[in-house]
Amino acid sequence: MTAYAEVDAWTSKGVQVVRISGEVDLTNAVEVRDAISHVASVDEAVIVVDLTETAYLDSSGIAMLFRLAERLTQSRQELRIVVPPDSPLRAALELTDLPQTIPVQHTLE
Amino acid sequence: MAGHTGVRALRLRVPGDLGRTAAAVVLVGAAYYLGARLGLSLSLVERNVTPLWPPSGIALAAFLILGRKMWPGVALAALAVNLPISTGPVPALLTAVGNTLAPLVAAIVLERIGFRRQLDRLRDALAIVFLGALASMTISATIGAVTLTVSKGTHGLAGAWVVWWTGDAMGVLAVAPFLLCIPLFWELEPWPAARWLEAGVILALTIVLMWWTTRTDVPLLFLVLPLLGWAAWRLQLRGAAPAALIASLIATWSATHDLGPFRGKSLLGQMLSLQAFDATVALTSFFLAALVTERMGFARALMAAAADLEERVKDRTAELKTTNDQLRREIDQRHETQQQLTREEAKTRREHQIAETLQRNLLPDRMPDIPGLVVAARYVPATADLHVGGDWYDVIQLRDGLIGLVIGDVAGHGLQAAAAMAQLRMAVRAYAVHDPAPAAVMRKLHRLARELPMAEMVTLLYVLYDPDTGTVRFTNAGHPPALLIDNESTQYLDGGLAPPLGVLAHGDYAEATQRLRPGATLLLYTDGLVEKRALSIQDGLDRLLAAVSDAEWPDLDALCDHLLSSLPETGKVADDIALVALRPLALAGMPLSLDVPADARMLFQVRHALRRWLRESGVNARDAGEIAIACGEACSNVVRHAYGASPGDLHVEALLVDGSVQLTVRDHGRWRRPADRGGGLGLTLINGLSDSVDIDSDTAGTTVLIRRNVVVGDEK
Repeated sequence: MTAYAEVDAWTSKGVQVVRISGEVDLTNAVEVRDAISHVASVDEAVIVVDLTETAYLDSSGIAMLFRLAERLTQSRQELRIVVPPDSPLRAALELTDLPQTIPVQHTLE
Repeated sequence: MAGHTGVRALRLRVPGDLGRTAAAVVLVGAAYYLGARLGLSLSLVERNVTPLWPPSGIALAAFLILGRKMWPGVALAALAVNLPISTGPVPALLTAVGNTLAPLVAAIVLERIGFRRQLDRLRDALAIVFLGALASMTISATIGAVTLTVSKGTHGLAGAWVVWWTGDAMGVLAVAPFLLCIPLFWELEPWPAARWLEAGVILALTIVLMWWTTRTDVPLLFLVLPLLGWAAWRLQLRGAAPAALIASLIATWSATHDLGPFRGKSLLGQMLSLQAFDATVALTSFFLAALVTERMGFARALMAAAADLEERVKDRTAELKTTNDQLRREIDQRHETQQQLTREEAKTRREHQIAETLQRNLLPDRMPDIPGLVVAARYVPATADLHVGGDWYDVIQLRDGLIGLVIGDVAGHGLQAAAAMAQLRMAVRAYAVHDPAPAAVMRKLHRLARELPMAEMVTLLYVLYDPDTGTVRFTNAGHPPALLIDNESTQYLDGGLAPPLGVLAHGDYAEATQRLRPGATLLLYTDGLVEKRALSIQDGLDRLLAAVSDAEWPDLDALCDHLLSSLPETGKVADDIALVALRPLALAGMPLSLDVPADARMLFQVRHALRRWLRESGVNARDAGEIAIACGEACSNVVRHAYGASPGDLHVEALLVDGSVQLTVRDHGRWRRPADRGGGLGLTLINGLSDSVDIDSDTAGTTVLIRRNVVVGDEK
């Protein structure tokens, strides 16, 4: 994967989960998006990106999530994001309009 | 001398030799007597005046050829000759003494002056004429003439003396050379038949010519001289002496018989003519013979010298040629050896270059710029060999700000060791990126070492430093332990030790953990640093411990230099040495100041240094995370927009004042309005995550000042 981030994916209860571990900035945002696209099965209706293990995500990462959402909408798939309530990312995500566009949940459940 | 004496002694002991000498004495005596009879028969006046006295020549020749021991024969024969013609036994005896003494003295004198009886030099011819004949014969003439006049009571001593002297001298001149030439016939190279024929012709012509000239009244005696010249020229002494003797004998005989040119002359006239002729004949023949012989000797010597020279030149040329050939062979060999050496050298140089290239690529030429961390490293090649050893170190930046420190040692030197180390180095990097955990990395390396055909033993120490927790986790495969240098507890980290890579069938690696406080130093090294001849490993480790404990080392590079200059043997590095030191800087309680290149790859380092500073300053994790994002956005702006494609620098300062973090991000490039960059998400985040933001932009650069109130002291 990249030096800072690792992407792994699995299916849980009919949901495609993609976990981003590490940090996402402008150096690896595109790579992470490609990695997600690569591992996300086109058969699943819902793709969940889990940011629980993501230590850092800046505007490049957030922009990446927007674009990912757009792409999934085109393929009639739904993107959801998991961010724990105490995550340092929560404030940044809320500052953008992301939660209005992409459903954000606290846990995978 | 000894040989001479020996020969003489041998002769004395052999009776046959004595007999032979006696026979020779008898023969000499007989010859003397016969010669005397012949001489007397040639008297000009009845038994009185003899113009040619052969016995004196016979005696001298006998002494010169057979030795002076022939004197009894000469003496007895002389006595026998003189007894009948003397007035009594006493005068006869005295005359005989004179006749013996004269040739004896002549022989002694000639031998003294180195006379050669071969008469082959001009000086020999001069010697026999003046010393042998003219001078010595005064003895016999004086004794004989005095005895004669006294015993007979007659007058005319002077006339008697002159007649006696000329007769004896002529006897020597005419007869002695002829007798001396006889031994030459077997002593010199024998004549071929043609030479004998020539000699016969000369002698026959001499006889005929002499016969005729002595029968005619016209004085033509001199006509024989060309013949003598021919003989001397062609046959030298062996031809000239017999011809001269015959000519003298015939002339003398003619004079005594009053024939031809001598007829009607007075006694004095006959004497003068005859003696002048005999002397001319003798002198002409053997002076010429001696001259010719001498010339021939010179010519022969010259020819021999020339031949010798030619031979020597030939020898020397051959010698030179041999030497030359040998030289050429040696040069060829040397050339070949040289070429071989050059090939070997080229090969070695090529290997050396490859090894050096490998080396340069293997060892980081500069340490990574990790804010908040100081890293220093050294590599010292062994003095000999290819200057490339199997030692290496590496500093790997891993995700989440983790730092992997590697130090390893592949046994051996040169290209193979360098190649093995290249493989391992890349493997460590690959494994660490995938899973940085020390035990996991080491297990994979162990499997790799068992798979690879790696003959050398490999020791390796892998340390994972986590700046967020300030701890190191490490696994050690047979490598000298890392040294933790800390004021409170400087110690070797002995934990996590396992055998060298690939030694055991199943690699079972355990991790050890150690806290690395800010300001403390972790030192990794290879055995070259602590191994010294005549020193145990433990002593080496103790020396290292002493070397780091003797002073404070605020500068890590200075510490490395100090260790390298004080520990290994001076001037000669037997084994290569690798050294890498890591020190987290103490960040709490002072402002953070980072100067890094404006490069996207530095963003990670900057925010990790910042987060560490925030954590060590006691700032709550949530605030710290949000400040990190705000700072990251400001830095991203600089990286993306301030300098365009050209390089530039990025300066970040953080200050904690009264519960507020003041963050300054500065560049020296050109700031662009958010509208120009599209979006503005970054600025939104900076503003949203801060309590105040001031942007100050001019031509000299842009400064972004971010303030954020934080909760300090909350462990969460």
